[in-house]
Amino acid sequence: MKNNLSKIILWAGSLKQALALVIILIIISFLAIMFPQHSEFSAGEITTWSVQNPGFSKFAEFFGLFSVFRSVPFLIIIFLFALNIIICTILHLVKLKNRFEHNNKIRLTGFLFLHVALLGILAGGFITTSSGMDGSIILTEGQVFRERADNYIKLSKGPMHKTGHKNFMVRLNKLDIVYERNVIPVKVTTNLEFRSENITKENVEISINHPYEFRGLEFTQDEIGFSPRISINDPEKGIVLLHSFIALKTFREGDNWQYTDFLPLSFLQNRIFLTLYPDHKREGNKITKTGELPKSPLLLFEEKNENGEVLSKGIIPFKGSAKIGKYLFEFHELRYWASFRVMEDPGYLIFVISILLALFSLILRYSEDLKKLFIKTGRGE
Amino acid sequence: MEKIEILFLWMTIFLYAMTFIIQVIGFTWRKSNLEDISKWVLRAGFLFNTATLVIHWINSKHPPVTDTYELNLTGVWITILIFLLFYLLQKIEHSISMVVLPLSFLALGYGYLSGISFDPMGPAFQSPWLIVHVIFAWLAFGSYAIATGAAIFLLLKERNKSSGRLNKLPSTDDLDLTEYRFIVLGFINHAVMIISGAIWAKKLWGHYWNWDPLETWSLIAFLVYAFYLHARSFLNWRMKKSAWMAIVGILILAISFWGVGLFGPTIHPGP
Repeated sequence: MKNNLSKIILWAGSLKQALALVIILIIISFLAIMFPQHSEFSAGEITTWSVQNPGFSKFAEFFGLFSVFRSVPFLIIIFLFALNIIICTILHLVKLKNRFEHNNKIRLTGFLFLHVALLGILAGGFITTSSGMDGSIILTEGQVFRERADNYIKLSKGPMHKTGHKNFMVRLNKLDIVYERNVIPVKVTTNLEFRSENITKENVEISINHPYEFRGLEFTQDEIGFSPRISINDPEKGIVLLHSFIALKTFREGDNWQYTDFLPLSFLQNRIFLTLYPDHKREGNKITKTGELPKSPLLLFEEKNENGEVLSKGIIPFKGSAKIGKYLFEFHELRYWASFRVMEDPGYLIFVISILLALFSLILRYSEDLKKLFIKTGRGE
Repeated sequence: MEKIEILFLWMTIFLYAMTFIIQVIGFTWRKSNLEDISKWVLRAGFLFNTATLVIHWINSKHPPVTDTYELNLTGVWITILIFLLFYLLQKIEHSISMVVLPLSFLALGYGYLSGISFDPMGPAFQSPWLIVHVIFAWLAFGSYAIATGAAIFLLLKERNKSSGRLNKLPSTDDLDLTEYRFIVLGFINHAVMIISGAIWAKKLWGHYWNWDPLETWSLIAFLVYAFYLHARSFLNWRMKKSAWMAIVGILILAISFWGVGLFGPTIHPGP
């Protein structure tokens, strides 16, 4: 019995098993590339792919091929991988004295540290996945977000995440964009104001690549766009049906940015699509966008049926109005919106220390080979 | 300035192509004087490559590391720099350029066809990690390309043991060692590339790793080379077996550099 157990342990920590796991990981990763994967960057990709490949999509859905990296088999492989590294490291530590006497010390130290670092990377990832938090918020200039689970647009928490909110609010004061040639944004900065229950106030500037941490939550600037304030009135009944900021979605294709969305309102029989031209040139009914800076904003309203055919449309300049169907649409104001990733990453420190240790150990492990490469000894040697 | 850049770029492509042709003729017909000429043509090509890079940097007002053209231009420059450096250190034969150069001028042509632009650097690219990430990606590619060259010559020598023209090359044992050491160098650079990319991704997107197709391909290539190193150290895979693995590795890496777009959209602007 004891013999069998030690055989299993030795097998679980063997190099052959490690190589087999590496091959399985390669196959899994290869499989995952063939199908779009669920992620915050690929919301519409799976739908588009499924429409284009109707035959394969049911098969992929059935076998969970759209979320390979979150699947149980993948997690089992990672677990076996971690187990392999743990056993391999322990076995090396057990024979450490003997090995140090018979092997290159620097090389062996590198080998051991490398495996400890790999465990650290896996541990950091595990801590973040199990106890971390990943949320998204969208704020229009002037809008306030209270840190509570139901105020996030998207929120995923690890199973061991400590529930409860952090009792603070954040307000987007201003968003500044510096454009080059009126088209390409070269600097995007948001001014955020953090307030907590004991009335501490912090004003901070966040820009892309420069996140900010408040009470253990890291705010990373993500997408930006425009929020026009519009109202819809029913002139017959004399009532205001809607008066609100609408955060238009931003679509990008190279330098071409498009700001558009539809109004999901029950009182409208058809879908009303809004498209914003921040700066425009108008020749008759033809509108051309001339830049991204909101110098002369204009809203295009299009009423479309289920087949996407345009039934009616109206063009409303800034502070103007137009009647579309039986309703009166008004364009009052234009502000920016910005979205932020809000992350809690408890495995951060372990992960960063581990990847740096891994790199250092890798250099140690192969220092002898590297030395031979850089010392002039003659061709091929 | 733009016209000069295009002229210099074509001179670079032409001189690299000429180096390749002269090297192949010299190697095949055993004309050592032609091989000597190819060394000087390569150096001239590298000077034009450097000049093109500098002119583009001045024109665009930022390091050439953002779009497809810039990444390929910088990448080829780094690859040839590594080749010349190790050639001058007497670690490799000049004939390995017959493998490195086709990869290089194809990359330059691909970059040129994608269009030259002088757009300013977008906010996402304004990070020091980008430069570290790109430089180490190409240092890895250059090292792996040299290793592949050694692997191909090793396989050729193994197949044609009596061939006179291959006798000039180092022994298969030396080629095997060259291939291994350059894979070690490439692997360490590859690790720095992945680590710097992960740190940058954390600052930019909030996550170290997003399982994006390009990231995943890069990881597959890394795992293939990790497999190579383990198999060599512990299973004693040498010579032919390891040479074939080196070739498989560069093919996967080439897909992660240039072919990832075929597998769907990516958030990563790769070369």
